[in-house]
Amino acid sequence: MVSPMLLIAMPLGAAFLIVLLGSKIAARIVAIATVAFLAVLAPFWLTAAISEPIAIVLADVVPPLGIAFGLDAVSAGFVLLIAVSGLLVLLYSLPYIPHAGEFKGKEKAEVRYYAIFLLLLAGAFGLVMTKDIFNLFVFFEILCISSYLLVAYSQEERALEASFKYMVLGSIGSAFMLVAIGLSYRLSGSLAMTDIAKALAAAPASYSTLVSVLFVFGFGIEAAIFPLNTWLPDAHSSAPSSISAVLSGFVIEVALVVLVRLSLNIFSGTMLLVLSVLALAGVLVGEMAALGQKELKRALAFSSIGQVSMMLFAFTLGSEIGRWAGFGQLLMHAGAKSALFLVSGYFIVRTGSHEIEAYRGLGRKMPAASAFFAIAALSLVGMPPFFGFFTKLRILEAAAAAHSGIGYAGIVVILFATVIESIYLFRIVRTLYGANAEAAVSSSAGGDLPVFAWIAVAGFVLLVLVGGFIIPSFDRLLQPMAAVLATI
Amino acid sequence: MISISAVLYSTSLILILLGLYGVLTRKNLIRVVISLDVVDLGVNIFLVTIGYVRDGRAPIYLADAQTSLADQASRMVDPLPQSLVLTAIVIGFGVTAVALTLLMRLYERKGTVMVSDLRGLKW
Amino acid sequence: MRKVIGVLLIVSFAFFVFTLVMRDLWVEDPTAVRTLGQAAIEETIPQSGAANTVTAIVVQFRGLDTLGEVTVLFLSALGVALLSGEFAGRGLKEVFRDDGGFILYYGARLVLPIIILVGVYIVAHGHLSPGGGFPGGVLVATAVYAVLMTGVKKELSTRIMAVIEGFAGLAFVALGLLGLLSDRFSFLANILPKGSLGMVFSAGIIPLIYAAVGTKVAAELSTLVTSLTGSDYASADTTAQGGKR
Repeated sequence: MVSPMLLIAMPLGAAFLIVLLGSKIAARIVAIATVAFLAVLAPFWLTAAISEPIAIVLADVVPPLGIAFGLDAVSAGFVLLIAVSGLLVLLYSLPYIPHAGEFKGKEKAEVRYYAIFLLLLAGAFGLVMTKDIFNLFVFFEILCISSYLLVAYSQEERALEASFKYMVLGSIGSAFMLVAIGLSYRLSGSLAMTDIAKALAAAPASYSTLVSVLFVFGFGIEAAIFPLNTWLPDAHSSAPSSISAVLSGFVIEVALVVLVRLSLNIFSGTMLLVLSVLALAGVLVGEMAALGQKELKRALAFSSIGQVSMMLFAFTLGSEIGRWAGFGQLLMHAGAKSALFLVSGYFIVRTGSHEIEAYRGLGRKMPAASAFFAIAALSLVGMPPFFGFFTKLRILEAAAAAHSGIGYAGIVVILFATVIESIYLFRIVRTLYGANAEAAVSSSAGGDLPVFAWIAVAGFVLLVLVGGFIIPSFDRLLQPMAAVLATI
Repeated sequence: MISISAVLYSTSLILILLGLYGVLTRKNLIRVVISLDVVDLGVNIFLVTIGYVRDGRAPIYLADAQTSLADQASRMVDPLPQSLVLTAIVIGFGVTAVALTLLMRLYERKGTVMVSDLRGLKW
Repeated sequence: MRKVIGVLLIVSFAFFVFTLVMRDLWVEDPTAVRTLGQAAIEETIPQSGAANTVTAIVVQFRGLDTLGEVTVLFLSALGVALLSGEFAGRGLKEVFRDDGGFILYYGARLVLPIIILVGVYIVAHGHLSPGGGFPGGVLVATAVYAVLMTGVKKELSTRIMAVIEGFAGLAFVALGLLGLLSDRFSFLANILPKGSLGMVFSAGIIPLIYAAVGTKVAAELSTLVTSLTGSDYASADTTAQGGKR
């Protein structure tokens, strides 16, 4: 059985190798080969982890002295998602990245893009596998810093500003997390999450409240919980579209799931309620804000806030079916939102504009791209028979089954949000296929999506297209994940 | 007599609060970055203080000392927070370096690093 | 207005922390360490052979954290280099108008080897005394700064530094993988003999890892300053490429 440590060692080694070699061709080959290799191994780890969690001993030292690390159902599921998403986005990046910005030193920058991308994946892999609170912090920082850098990649003014804002907020969050880690160590004498959970359960309420609040602050910034998500619209819209897809597709979700796992196992029950309320607020704010956006990527970014808040709501219902629903939504959103962002990248390249109005009539000039966009958008709204319908339905079922005030409030909010979503998403799709096509036709150069981009987008769209029909097989994956999330 | 750790904890808290205040209110972005640094400093002091032991010695064994190894071990301070801080300092440094580089680029473009002139940075 | 909100937030946060938690922390200084620290102190010599417990923790017991830390530094260096493309070729001549004279010229050349030697010493003795890869690497990088600031050299090649960086990083990962391939089947396991306490050649792979870390840190910090001051060796693409985009 191949050691899952390859998930950390290989992307790191590949990134070092890429910088060592310094050539663009080597960078592309090494990056894709590494991620493809891991993506192929991921299903094997997944089947093994579902039957029995894989424990990994690092440095031949067992916890609590060593770092607690391992692959369980939740981790393995995420590993598969991250590896496949990463591979598809890498394929997309091959033709796309040369278009992402104009600045001196662009040739060398591309090499660095692939290296930083690999490190982002390594950070995400480590984040889901670790069961040690300080190790969590380290991998979290790797993930965050890679995101800050990739957001700033195009080096346009708005990208630099967005990255700076993201960085400042993220640093404050990290500082708070460190304080929480210090307090946890002081209390429990260990850095393993299981020990901390036991110690915090027995601690005075004020102590554990402080620790939970600090953690939620720290992770909440990265997981885009309302009101800590002011950085997201700027960052996701100024980043190169491949990175927007990655950020909205799995980065915020990974942070969210880690936060939820900590909340379920380490923090008190009131924290869950607070998170539910914040989640519903996030759904409302996100979707309403998306309604008023004139730029496509900003609308998509706000939509991500809304969708991730829906996932948070499902997770914090406290029931297994709620968690199941949350994971389903997560999977669907990863597919749909990634596809939407990737397509929008080429809308921008072909028309030179970020605004939705400029895409009028692109449905004819870029038929494949627009079709993919439409399918993904329909799934995001929750239209049958796409995947999104089933996942959203399940969230509503879970909310109803909770029989609580917050559950019913959630149903109302989500239904309302769905209406809003359909308004702006359909508006965009109508614009794509609208009449009066001169604006787009004259300024768009070079036809539809290049081959690799096409493959990548098709991969994501495939998920939302057939997801609805193969729900039972997904359930065999999602159900164990939901069960394991409640343990640490 | 106030204990040493109380003094250190208070210092770290004050530093963190000062830094947070700076981040929230300073208009010059370089000062914001410096304030972030101050917050990091406060957090690191806090972490190291957790390991403090009264009359403790540095956690390094001396092979040729007069005292036995077991004796040395019983009087050491906690080495774990020190290792956490080692990592935290490096990470903080990395973030500061990138933040300052971003500011340098912004300054080049706009000629200013004041928040009011950078439209994207309203909270 | 912002100041008022800022002060309010800070004061409420301080109040919260103070009343709820600081009470517990205002006690007598503790006389014994916590469990994990105690375990580390006891296990250092048997399991790692190092005299410096902090090093044993950082490199062996929690080696993955150090790998992560090295990665973060790597990311910073990459990021700064990525964002500094526009500064390339400028150099420090705009900042330093005169060349510092006799003292700077000879003093720098005199002091440089001493700085490097001390840096290497600190790296090599990481498992015996305070120090290790990170401070030692920083010190060696200081030598590079001195080179730039005093005008000993006007340009440095970041290409060479990137190669060194990459090699050192790969060395660290390779040392970890050796642990996987050995009979312990554990990433970053300490597979070499522990030696006797207090010797430079002891503590298994710890000095090797610190050597890799030290080299990497030195290379990265040098790249940082070289990129930021625009002292990059004139590279092929600082001038406009042809028509192809």
